[in-house]
Amino acid sequence: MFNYLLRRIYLLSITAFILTLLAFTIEHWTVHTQIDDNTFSHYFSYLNSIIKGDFGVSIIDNQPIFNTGLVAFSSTLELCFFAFIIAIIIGMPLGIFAGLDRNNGVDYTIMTIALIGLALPVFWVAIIFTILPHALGITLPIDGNISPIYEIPVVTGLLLIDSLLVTERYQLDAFLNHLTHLILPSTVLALFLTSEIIRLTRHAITMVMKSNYIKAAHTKGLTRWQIVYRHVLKNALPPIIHQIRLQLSTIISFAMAIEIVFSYQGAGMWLFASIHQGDYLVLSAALLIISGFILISSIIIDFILVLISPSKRKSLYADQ
Amino acid sequence: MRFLPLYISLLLLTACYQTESTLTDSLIYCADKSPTSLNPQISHDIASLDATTHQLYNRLVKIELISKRFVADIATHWVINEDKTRYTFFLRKDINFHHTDYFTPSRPLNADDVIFSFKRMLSKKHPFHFVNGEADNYRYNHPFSSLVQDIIKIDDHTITFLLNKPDATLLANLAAHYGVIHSQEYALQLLKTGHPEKIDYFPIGTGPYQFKQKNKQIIRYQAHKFPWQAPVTINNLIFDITPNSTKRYAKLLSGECDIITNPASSQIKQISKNKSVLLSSQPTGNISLLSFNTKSSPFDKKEVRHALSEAINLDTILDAVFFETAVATNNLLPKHSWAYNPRTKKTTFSPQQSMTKLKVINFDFNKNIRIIAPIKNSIFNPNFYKTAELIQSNWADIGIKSEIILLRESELHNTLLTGDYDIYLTGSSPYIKDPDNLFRPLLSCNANSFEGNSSQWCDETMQNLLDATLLETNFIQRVKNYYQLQEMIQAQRIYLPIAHLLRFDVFNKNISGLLVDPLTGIDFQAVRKVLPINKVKAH
Amino acid sequence: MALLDIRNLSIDIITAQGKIRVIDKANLNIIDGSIHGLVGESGSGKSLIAKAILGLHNENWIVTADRMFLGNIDLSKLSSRARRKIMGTEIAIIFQNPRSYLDPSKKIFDQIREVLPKKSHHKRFFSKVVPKLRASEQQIIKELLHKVGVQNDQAVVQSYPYELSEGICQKVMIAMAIANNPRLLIADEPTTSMEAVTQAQIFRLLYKLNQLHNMTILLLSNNFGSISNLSDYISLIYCGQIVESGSYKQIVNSPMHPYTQAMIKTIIEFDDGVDHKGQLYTLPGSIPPANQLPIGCRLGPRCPKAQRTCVSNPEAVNYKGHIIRCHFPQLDDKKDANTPHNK
Repeated sequence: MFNYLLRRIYLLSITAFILTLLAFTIEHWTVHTQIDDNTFSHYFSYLNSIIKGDFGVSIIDNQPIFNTGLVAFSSTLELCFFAFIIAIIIGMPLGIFAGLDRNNGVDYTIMTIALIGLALPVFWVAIIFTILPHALGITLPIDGNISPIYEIPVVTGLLLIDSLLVTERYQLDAFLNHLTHLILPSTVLALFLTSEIIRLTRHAITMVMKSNYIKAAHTKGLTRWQIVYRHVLKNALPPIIHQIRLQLSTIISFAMAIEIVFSYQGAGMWLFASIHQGDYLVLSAALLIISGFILISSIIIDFILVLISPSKRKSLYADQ
Repeated sequence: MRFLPLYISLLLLTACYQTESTLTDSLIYCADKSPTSLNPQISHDIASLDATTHQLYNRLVKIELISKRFVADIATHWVINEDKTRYTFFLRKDINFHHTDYFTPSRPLNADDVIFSFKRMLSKKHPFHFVNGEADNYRYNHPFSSLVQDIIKIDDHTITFLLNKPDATLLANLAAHYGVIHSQEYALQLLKTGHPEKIDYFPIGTGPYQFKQKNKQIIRYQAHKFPWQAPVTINNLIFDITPNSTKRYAKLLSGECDIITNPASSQIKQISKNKSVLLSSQPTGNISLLSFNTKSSPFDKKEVRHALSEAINLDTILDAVFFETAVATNNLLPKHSWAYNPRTKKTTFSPQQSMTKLKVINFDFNKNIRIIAPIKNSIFNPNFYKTAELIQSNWADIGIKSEIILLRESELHNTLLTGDYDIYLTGSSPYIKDPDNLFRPLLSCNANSFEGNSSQWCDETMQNLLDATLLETNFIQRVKNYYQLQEMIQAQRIYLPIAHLLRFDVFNKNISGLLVDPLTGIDFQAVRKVLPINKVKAH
Repeated sequence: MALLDIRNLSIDIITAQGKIRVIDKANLNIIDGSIHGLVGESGSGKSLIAKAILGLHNENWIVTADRMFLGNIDLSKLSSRARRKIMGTEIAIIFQNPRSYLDPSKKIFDQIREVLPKKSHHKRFFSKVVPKLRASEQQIIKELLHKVGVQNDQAVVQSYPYELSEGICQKVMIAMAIANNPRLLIADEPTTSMEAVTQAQIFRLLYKLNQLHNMTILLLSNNFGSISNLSDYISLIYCGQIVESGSYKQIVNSPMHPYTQAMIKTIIEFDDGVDHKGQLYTLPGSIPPANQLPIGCRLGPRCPKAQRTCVSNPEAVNYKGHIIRCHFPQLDDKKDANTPHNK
């Protein structure tokens, strides 16, 4: 297991190296923070400062960029997490139904809904969702991640946790307020995610249902639902997770677009506001934070895949 | 499948969601722009005024909204000598400055603070004169530097203003937004720590709210802990800056804002139909106008100017650009001004007559008229380009060729100074109610085209009339003079007024006591929030 | 006593080209407690018969039979729920390539436990929690694995299918199949992909099960030689038609059908000398594809004795248990052609 981890990290370090080159190019071309003419030494000193975590100080509010960036990105992660949960709760059962009844009425209905979710552009849906709840009579907040009435000091950066830490002052109001602010943006993101998950689940389940051990399970006399629950689900999961890992960057970019529409203080809004006000130093920092996160989550997802799917453990020893 | 009820119960959280409207000691005001600074002495845009004038500061005198008379604010009463050159003010004794995290006052307000605040604008030797400002900015010191010669302290609670010449506008200037009083003690403390620029960004005043925090798009105020006026009911005042007008309105509807300002003019009809919010409109002195460059031929002939004005259909512009949210006008002064001349002639839309007139005077139809306008839409005009297009098409109907040039601010500055234009779409926003404040920048020989006189008009009779009226102490005579001035303007058709702008604010039905003064900004002192009747506080 | 009695089983498959009759009036009669071998080349329809018995067929198959009885149970008239009940408890089936028929994400222990005789609900819940009851399960599984010949059951039980060899996987499958003591065990080419040693082991195991536990086995295979020693009764199937069927002695000593004779000739006996570079015996031609099945006797085009009457379907004739469908069987002198013995 340890060797496996090392091998993955080694592979990903090459990607990380290329990313630092990119970030350095961006920084070198937009803001010359050093008058050094020699690009190589500039690059090494840049690498040095990155490893220490010093990305410079933002022009706008004189705070270190790294900290602001991390806090902003954690908000984006909260949004993605929430949307993920909603998407899994809704999407997986629908995908399972669609996969089991392949090419039947249920399948066609579900796939039509999923296709609509994939076809709609995410920013348009976000804009519609700013007005739709009111048109339907539901009052839901559409701006920011928490009402400005509550002043929450930044402890961990994750607002879900921070708002629970101020219970003496606000009781649970701040936390509930934050949750309601999360509902609309994560529903918009979940729309896209659900379609993806329905598609992937349906495909994975169809593939699994054709396999031999399901036929053997039939001959053991199990009911259809027992087969699905005990055998199909666990075996259908690895391809789904693998595909989602490939889609991770798309999900994050959609989340950032949604944040801009809803003024949700996440990485998308932070980048947008900084560029709008001319603070280009954040670009390289944002590049490294976001892509670093995607790299690390790739490793973690690989790990999870190995844990839940024993057949992938073969790749621990052989190169697949 | 069995988690579906979980998600639905999550949606039910909306019932638990107390909209901010139900919390009665906080008020959220959504503005459209961030204030440039928190000192109205150096920032004159309406966003800064909204944020500061009535909230953070007090002035010596103020104008009562209903009767439009000068009443006491910091000064309890005042005495004017016979020749109107000395104004003596007697100050209240119990006014406290704000107690904040960054400053604790040791004494109440006295004459030193008043002198400090005004001398900052007047005297170049003042340590804070050049801080945070363009000290030579016309608007920064002009009202006072030509008006006031000196301020003398009589005792701790009495001061006298010495004027250069007898002038009736001092009280209006003192009641304007830049007449605010700062704390000298705080300024000295800042000088000692070496951060004098903080005086305009971490302000200390005497107003009902004190500054707490400003980060990104949110400004927080707290109620003054030791108020000298009646205490306010709203403890937390929050300014939420939302530049997008549709979003502002949506936030009002979803309960995240209690009051919003400057909704999109295309939505105002809908807002007025919405039963759950109240729309308040105030006439401002802001006027959108079109100026003819009288130094460039053929616009030096008044017949040309008249003819071209009659060829423009102002109603279409009002409808298409302002969506009928502005008031049609043919006079530079707003209707509510005391100097408004009701007998001024109306400009009619008659393109045929205008074409004949132009032919009679041998107007050169091949000349390409240059219309310039700023690229960025401002409070004068929500859409400069559309206005220019409409004018262009109106003139094209009678055979006049024109081109529209949109310029950025720096290019605009240069073009105005060199005079290389024919028509300029602009506006004027006087900031005290005195008509002189409107006419002087537009018509005076001393004002250059960037400062306001974009017609480059210089006429000795008019100049004399302006100066004489400024010094005139007889009110009736002043009115007569201004009537005459307006008739002269109409006759010469130096400017074509397009519309007078209204200031719109929208707020929830449970807010009462909101005062909006279009000149000095919004006032939250008397605001009360009532819990809506049918909503029960669930937690 | 006939355990499985199938009379005139026909399976039609609806394809784009129309209805194809893949199994043509098959008769199968399995005696209780015997090993019955069903031999045929690949593609002759053995697995189809097995699936039809179990009811695992697709919707576009049309299965008709005069009789399809398992003991007293009429298999064709079962509802899907009743059919599910008999599967695993009355009939069990093991497959070719056993590793792909085991769930790759579960340990062997969980998979075998799944097929153990069903306890009541609360006993099943407790067995997960209470160690003593769980131990009884472990004991049962251990005995089961010993029964099939897996010695190191500890290691096997804690492994995943991909870690085990094909032989052990097949033994595990057999263990799962016999866990409920079914009356009939269908073995669908269980050793086709294995090497000879493992084949021998599996066959020995099946033989032992049959002898000691009286389990009836229907053994499908494409290799006549390997099952011929094992089976009590043999049926040969060609292209969906059962051409000859009878006891081992009858078939081996007096094969009547040309196909059977060809089959027997293909068994290489190294006792007699095989000619150096001599031709191995086969019937000319190959199995026709499903959409070009010949009319009547399907061996027709390849049969050395084919004549014009072979375009009509031959009737099944029974000589004391030796059933043959051929127009031109090779009859012994002992058999009387005029006294067909009908059961």
